[in-house]
Amino acid sequence: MFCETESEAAKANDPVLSGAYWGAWGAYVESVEKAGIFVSGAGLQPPHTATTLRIRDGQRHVQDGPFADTKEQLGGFFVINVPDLDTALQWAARSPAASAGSVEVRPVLPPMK
Amino acid sequence: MKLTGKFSLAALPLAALLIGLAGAPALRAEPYTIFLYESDADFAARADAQRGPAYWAAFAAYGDKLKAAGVLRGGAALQPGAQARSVQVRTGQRAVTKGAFAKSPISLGGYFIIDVPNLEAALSWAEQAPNAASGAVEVRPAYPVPGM
Repeated sequence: MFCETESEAAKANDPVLSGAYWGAWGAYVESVEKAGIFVSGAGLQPPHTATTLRIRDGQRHVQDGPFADTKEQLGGFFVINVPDLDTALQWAARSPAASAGSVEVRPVLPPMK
Repeated sequence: MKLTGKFSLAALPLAALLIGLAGAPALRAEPYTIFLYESDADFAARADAQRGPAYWAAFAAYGDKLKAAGVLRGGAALQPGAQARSVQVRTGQRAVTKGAFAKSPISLGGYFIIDVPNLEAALSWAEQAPNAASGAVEVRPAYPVPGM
């Protein structure tokens, strides 16, 4: 899971910086694809586009914004199929987010489909 | 790429394709990610002899509903934050710390990616998630990984 600060995420739409931003991600995606390890994933629109929902006492409560109120926010995620944690950590470290933000690596249970 | 073959049927519901051809863009499906935030009690239920079967059955049923509706594009359960590692690379050095990036009594337990026309449709699905009453569900518009 790729976590970015707001200023890093803003590069995605910046007329000057977006080229390098997407260039780096495109190269990373290509390397993941070439390695044949990609299972699932998505890029996420910025945190302000999120909506958080809870049901309490049978009532639906909806709030604008992401669940986590942190400086670094989730910008995207991949699920990859690799033999062990160490290999997963290596892939995490290669992503642009590792240098600009942080990457959380978690074991995934077998996919539902 | 061969792995995308698994997703192509769910990712291109036939109804959306036909409507697209008929020129009704308002009904085109967009990807949304549903993040399932679960309480510590929910995580504990997973391996619990009493609560575990019902826990997994509820999520399997939810996934089946999404699949039957033709909106499911992907999804998985994650192991809890205690099994996470956070990776940062600074000045060429890799630092790995144990534990999730954000620690909280309600934390990320899984996700689904769905294709639906708008936020309200995504929220209608989000409120049916088994953890909506004990945790929280975040809905975020997404876009497919480029080139995948």
